[in-house]
Amino acid sequence: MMKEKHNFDDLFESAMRQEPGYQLPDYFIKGVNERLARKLAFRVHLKMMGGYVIILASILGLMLAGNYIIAHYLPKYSDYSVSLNVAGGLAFLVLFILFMDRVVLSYLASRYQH
Amino acid sequence: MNDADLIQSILNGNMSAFSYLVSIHQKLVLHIVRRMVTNDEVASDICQDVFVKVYQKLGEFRGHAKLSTWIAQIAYHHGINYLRKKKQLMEISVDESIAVERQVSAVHYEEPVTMDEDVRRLLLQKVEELPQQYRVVLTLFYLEEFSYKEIEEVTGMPEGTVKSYLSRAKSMLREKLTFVKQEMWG
Repeated sequence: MMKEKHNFDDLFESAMRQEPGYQLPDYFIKGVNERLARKLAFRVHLKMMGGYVIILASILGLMLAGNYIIAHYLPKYSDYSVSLNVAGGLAFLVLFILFMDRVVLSYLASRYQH
Repeated sequence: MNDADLIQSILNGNMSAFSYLVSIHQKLVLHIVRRMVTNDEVASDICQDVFVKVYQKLGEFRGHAKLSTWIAQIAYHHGINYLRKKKQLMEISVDESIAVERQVSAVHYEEPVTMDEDVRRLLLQKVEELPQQYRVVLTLFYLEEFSYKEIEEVTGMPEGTVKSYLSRAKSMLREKLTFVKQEMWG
């Protein structure tokens, strides 16, 4: 009885410690680096978008300030004030196009290339 | 190069150092993931994701555990999340594991096996039929030679549960090979 137990334990130990023979493809490390590069590029593009958002927000702010000055101090030039709806809509459109072009398309292109 | 130097080098932007890290830990990650996911392609895909996550989180590694333990932890949780998403995880509590043990024990095989090597191969086949957590614990303990404490860190299971899983897995496999015992050692 003891011998049987001993044999099973030995066999179990050696089987469990045996290399199971799983294999990763040869290009595994290259694949990891490429996947990582795509993720990092996506982040960089998003950061770049952050820059565009700041520029557009500044322009919108200037428009708002201009509108305020015209409305309060120069009412005779009120024809030159810009509708906030138009300005906001244009800003949104520009941001959307930039996002699709710089972030989404670049990401998809790099995936397709891969 | 020790772990701290390697991490610092990667954080400084050295991609060769990162490739080196991948090369030295890819087997560990593969063993853990492949024990949970049976498809080679899916396992390879998950392993890639694991290393991307390792890279992204490397700045948060504080050296409280060995780097290999930390990477194994990421691999384990990534694998579990994948199985949960795919609804393929056989989650078991210690109580439930007794039922699994009975269920598994009920299976018997009739093909006679005469060589040690064949029995070993059969045993490894039977390991694949155990619940995922059992398989991972067996792999970490025997193949990767992690301590109970390290397995606790990787899986989040208390040390007692780890010991219990190891013991139950072993007794399940012993039961599965009952007929072999009778053939060879009976």
